[in-house]
Amino acid sequence: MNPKEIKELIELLSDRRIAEFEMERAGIKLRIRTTHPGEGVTTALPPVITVASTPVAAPAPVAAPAVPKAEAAAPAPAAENLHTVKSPIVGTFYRAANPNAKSFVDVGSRIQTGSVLCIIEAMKLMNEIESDAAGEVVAILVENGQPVEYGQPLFTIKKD
Amino acid sequence: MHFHVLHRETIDSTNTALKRMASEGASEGTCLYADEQTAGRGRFDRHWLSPRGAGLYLSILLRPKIETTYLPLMSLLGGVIVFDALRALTPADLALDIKYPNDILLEGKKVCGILAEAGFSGHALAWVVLGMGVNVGQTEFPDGLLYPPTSLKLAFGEQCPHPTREDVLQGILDATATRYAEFLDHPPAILQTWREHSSFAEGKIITVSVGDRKLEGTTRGLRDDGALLVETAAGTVEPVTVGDVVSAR
Repeated sequence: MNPKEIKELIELLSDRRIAEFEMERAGIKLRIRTTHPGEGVTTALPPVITVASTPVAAPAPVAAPAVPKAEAAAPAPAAENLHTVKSPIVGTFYRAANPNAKSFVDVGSRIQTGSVLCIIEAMKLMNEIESDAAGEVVAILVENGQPVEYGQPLFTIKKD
Repeated sequence: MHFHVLHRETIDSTNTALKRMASEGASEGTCLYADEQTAGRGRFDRHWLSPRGAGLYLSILLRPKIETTYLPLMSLLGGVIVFDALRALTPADLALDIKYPNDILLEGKKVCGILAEAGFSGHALAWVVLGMGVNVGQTEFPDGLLYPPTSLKLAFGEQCPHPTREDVLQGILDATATRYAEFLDHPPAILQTWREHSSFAEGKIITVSVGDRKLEGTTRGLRDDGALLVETAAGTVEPVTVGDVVSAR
């Protein structure tokens, strides 16, 4: 991943309300955490970015089953391949069916159309949000247990 | 509306099974009930005890064409439906109530729990499943439940024959036909109906458990989105949108 690609990613993320973004490819682990200003403040703070080069002793294709080799070498996804899943309802965002369960999806998860991504609880009504696109989860934009608004972006999916 | 009622002797969970059927295209009004659930569940996968033949374990599939802002009100709708069904089957001297948002209390103890689930494909509402577990013939319950339980059998006593599971099923379907039609016609009206049915709407001193936090106060009606308003000792009014009402007086 070259600096231009990183810059493109930052631009892509900066105009969305993205809490955290994680990506791992070809020995590089990229983690972007944004700090959001308080309500009523409209200027966006710059995202905090850490890029860590994971020491790779030897190529280990088995260790990264979620990312096919060809894809790892591909350039950063173009914006038109990215799909944002937004909240259809006001409520509380949960990444798993219960506090002890595994998350429905993580960054890097491969998903099909119809895969459950999260639950949003609204007045004790548990709403399962299914993906309306197939591909890979590249960003999870809300933290578990946080309130979400109607239309708030929840996930970024890189479409197949 | 037309109901298509399916019965199974044993099933993992009627909600889980009906959700599967919903995504395979089952039509509105499909109902599934079972004699026994091996993995009966409430919210957050809490275990719902479902011994064979003792309770009515029922799920109803709905596909409402409503604005999604009204969708959470279906939680309240579920409570009103079961309340109506049990009221028609229960002598007037037995007290029925709805604990916010939709637990049904008989003589102050929980006789029915409801798990309301919905599914969205992206932005489009695809299905709603109202799951109901009515305690009918249970004579004992394990310790440690969130709220004291009862069954129709326990509340009716030895002298008075209690309604059967089939009676309760029929009552719930009748009430669903009436109340769901009203709801589709004008969703916000369920707020007033709920207030008329529940002593929890106004002036009830309650404790709400929200994660590790406890909120205590006096109920002050429902907000338009269905949240229960609670006035705390400090005088602030807080909407309850998550958590469980764990005690009341």
